[in-house]
Amino acid sequence: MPFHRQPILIPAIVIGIYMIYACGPLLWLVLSSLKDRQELFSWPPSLFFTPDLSGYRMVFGIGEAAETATALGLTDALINSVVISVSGTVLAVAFGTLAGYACSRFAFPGRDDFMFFALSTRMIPPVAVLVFYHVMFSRLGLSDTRTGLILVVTFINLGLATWIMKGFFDGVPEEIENIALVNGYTRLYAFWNLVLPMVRGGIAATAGFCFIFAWNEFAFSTILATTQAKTLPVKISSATGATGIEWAQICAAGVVLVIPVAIFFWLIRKYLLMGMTFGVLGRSRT
Amino acid sequence: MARVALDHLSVRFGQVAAVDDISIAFEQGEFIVLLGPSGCGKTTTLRCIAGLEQPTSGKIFFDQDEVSHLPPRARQVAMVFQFVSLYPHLRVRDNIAFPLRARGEGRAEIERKIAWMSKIFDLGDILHRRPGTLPPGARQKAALARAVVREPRVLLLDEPLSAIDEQFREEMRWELRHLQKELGMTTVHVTHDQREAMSLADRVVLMRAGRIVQAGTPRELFDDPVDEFAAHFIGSPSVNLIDASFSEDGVALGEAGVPIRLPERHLEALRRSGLRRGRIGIRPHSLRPAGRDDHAAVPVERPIAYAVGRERFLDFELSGQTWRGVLPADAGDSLPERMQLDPARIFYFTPEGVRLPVA
Ligand SMILES: Nc1ncnc2c1ncn2[C@@H]1O[C@H](COP(=O)(O)OP(=O)(O)OP(=O)(O)O)[C@@H](O)[C@H]1O
Ligand SMILES: [Mg+2]
Repeated sequence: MPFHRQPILIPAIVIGIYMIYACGPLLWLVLSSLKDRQELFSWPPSLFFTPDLSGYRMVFGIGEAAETATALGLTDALINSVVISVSGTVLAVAFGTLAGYACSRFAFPGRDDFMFFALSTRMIPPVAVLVFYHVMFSRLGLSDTRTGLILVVTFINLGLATWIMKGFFDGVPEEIENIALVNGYTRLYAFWNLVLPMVRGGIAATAGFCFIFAWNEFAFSTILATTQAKTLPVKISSATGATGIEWAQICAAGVVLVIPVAIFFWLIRKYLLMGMTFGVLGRSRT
Repeated sequence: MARVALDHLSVRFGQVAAVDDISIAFEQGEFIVLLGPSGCGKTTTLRCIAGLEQPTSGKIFFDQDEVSHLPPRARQVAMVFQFVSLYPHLRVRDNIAFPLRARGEGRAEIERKIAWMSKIFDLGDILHRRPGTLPPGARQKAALARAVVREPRVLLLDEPLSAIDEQFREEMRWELRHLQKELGMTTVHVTHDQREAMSLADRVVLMRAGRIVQAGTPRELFDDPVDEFAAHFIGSPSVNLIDASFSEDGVALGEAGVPIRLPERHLEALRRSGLRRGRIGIRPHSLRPAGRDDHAAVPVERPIAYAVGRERFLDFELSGQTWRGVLPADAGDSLPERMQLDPARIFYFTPEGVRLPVA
């Protein structure tokens, strides 16, 4: 083997192994969701087989597959998940954008403490505050409601949204508003018409992060949503403990769970890196 | 157009006093230049006048109206900013129309004013282009047009010419000066370039560390600086300075103690001050070859003569320091042995840098 090819070969092998490690389970999940019981347990696992959609039918409660005693009927949970994640994302992004703007532009007393506090909310282990939430929510009648979970998800994401958006606003020169202000416009006009359009990418990235966290949220939902407001992850995990597990169904549900995340990631892939660096990339001036 | 008055204006950022108790009035139609080194509070002062910064204490008046706490949009000022001056997403004409639209002016009125600005600033070719495609000079012209078009009570310019290359800058200065006189705008222009200040201003306000060091006409600042900082900051080539010791016998310069004969009037003033040491300054243009009389003359060592354009300079050593003087254009090739300080233009400073009056 020519010596000069080695520098490419070794990274290629490393990346290849990593790809198998990262994508293997996903591939296995997708394939398994399409297999019937017999195929599912055959060894070695087959790559080519006749796809069987009964797992998906059970998940969505379609046809006779839904009549089976073990069918999960995930439609309700899916609707819960979508409503909660989307609402929580919209709220977190809206408030995070406003808070991020304030922190970027105004040196109010205690700003740095506020920023630290905002970020620290993300670091609290959910278990530590679960009991508190449980008590508060039952008093307020928010237990097992979508509203309750929307509030939780908004709260978890708000700190991060504030930080990411502050980073993006820091990248917009202050003169953008100052020009408008001295020329007879209000700050609200400048914010809405001039600054916001410049941070569209940042809003997309923030929304992506918030949605994915909200969609995957498990710890709070599993305690606070006992029946009606159960989200997809909670519902799926509760099925694994029951007798007579329908593996195809579980796998199909897993695929349903992964799809929105994948779509979202793909849509905002351009902005994700910016979001992870708190908007530092592409700054014109600090 | 308004008269602008600052009354004990201060702005603090935590421990830093960016503007420290400034009181001064700018007359209607006056071209004021705020001059000073980086970080001395020029921009902060300007932002206070515009309403972009809240004063920690003190008041701002436009004519009789106190505006200290009005929002920028209620002040009718125009400002050209140091870094970003135009909206990149708007064509030049829309940038100019921007302040007019804020006031809800009619389309015909806006068209008329754009045409007016286009004529004054010669913008015909670039009205339909976006700022990003224009050279810095044209961009600043358009920014000025947008500032002027709204006929502000005061025009604020924060280093508007610093991004423009040397040659075009001269031209812009000239145009700015004419325009300001023609329209009679009260103008506050910020710069750290003393040459720009001297060539533009009716009155220069020299600042340092948030305070006004001296305010006056360019001539006054040049001929009559209040302290060593002012003397040093203004004028190019810059002022010659040297330590001096004052005694009964006379004045000696530098470490070597080079004696110099000074007018009796000056010696009398130095004696009265009771100072033993201080500094002496002289501008290069007041340092010329001495005649027979060695009054106020210093010896020339290791001289080098050179010319910048038609001006001839002589650099020489005086007690270990380099001093600079001028030579007459018709002096020929022989170099003088002594250079003479014009007695009327010698500056005396205390060791703390305060100017000692000797007149
Ligand atoms: N928003 C702020 N927060 C904290 N300190 C500030 C702020 N703005 C200005 N300063 C400080 O106030 C002082 C004056 O700043 P200013 O921008 O007015 O100076 P300047 O004379 O315009 O300087 P330059 O020539 O560099 O533009 C500086 O020490 C600066 O660091
Ligand atoms: Mg400045």
